[in-house]
Amino acid sequence: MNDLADALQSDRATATGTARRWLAFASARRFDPLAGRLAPWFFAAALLLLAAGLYVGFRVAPTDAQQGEVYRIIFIHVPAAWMSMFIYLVMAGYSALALVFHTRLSSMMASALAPTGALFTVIALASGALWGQPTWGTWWVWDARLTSELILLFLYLGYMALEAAIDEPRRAERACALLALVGSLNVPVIYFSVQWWNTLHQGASVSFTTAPSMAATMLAGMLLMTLASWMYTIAVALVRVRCILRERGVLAPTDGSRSGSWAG
Amino acid sequence: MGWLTQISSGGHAAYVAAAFGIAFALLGAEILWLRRRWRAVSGGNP
Repeated sequence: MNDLADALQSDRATATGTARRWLAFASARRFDPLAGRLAPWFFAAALLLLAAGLYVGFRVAPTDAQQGEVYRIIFIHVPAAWMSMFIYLVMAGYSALALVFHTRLSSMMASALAPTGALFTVIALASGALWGQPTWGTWWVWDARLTSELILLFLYLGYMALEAAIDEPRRAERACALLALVGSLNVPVIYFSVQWWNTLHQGASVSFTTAPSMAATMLAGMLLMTLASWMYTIAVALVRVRCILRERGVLAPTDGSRSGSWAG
Repeated sequence: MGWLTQISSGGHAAYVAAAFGIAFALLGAEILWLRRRWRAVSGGNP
């Protein structure tokens, strides 16, 4: 019995140690220099993946049999649309952490992601319109996929407007966290809209359950562009969090910036 | 340059160029804006 108790105690101590190590990064003073060191690497990875994605998308991937060359908009449209949904879910995750554990850094991460999420939503909508005109004959239709994506843009804009409208940062963080959590219900609506309703927008070419209905090189180009967008988002969010930490007075302007560089 | 001629054929190259152009312009603007924000909060350091 004593052995079992010792083993349990040892396991609990290990788990506590691991949790404590992770929680240490919720400290601004620990997180800031790490973010400064990591951001340039994420920017570099984004550039490399972007170059690879553009090369595969424009030089390797074949012409589409039905749509011709205009289908190549897929290499910016789909990654942007995926990122717009994914970033909102990550924001909701950080918001939940902030509400449960009262970690301010989580709120700041959510806040840092919002502008980039909004930007990817605009890119998804604009590139979708530019793809829709030559293939559907119209820039816009009020179908479920397009409308729910537009609502996502309003959610991002609402999040940023709400944050800017409340002077007291803690109250703003709480209100925004609630908006992010409630708004995340829209993400599955966007994703499944093409199955739940009869839409002009085509169904998913790539899903978790079925094999992709596109050429392997097209899929590779799309995935490379998505990874590039992902790396870009992380890099930008890290730099933006460093700005927020200083704007809210958590860190002094010169803290952690040995060279004074925005990402170093 | 054959691939460029190939991609430009079909009469829809302007749509593809506009889609990528808008995306890169927006992301570039975000980086420039973020750089200015960092300069402002870090006491004018580049």
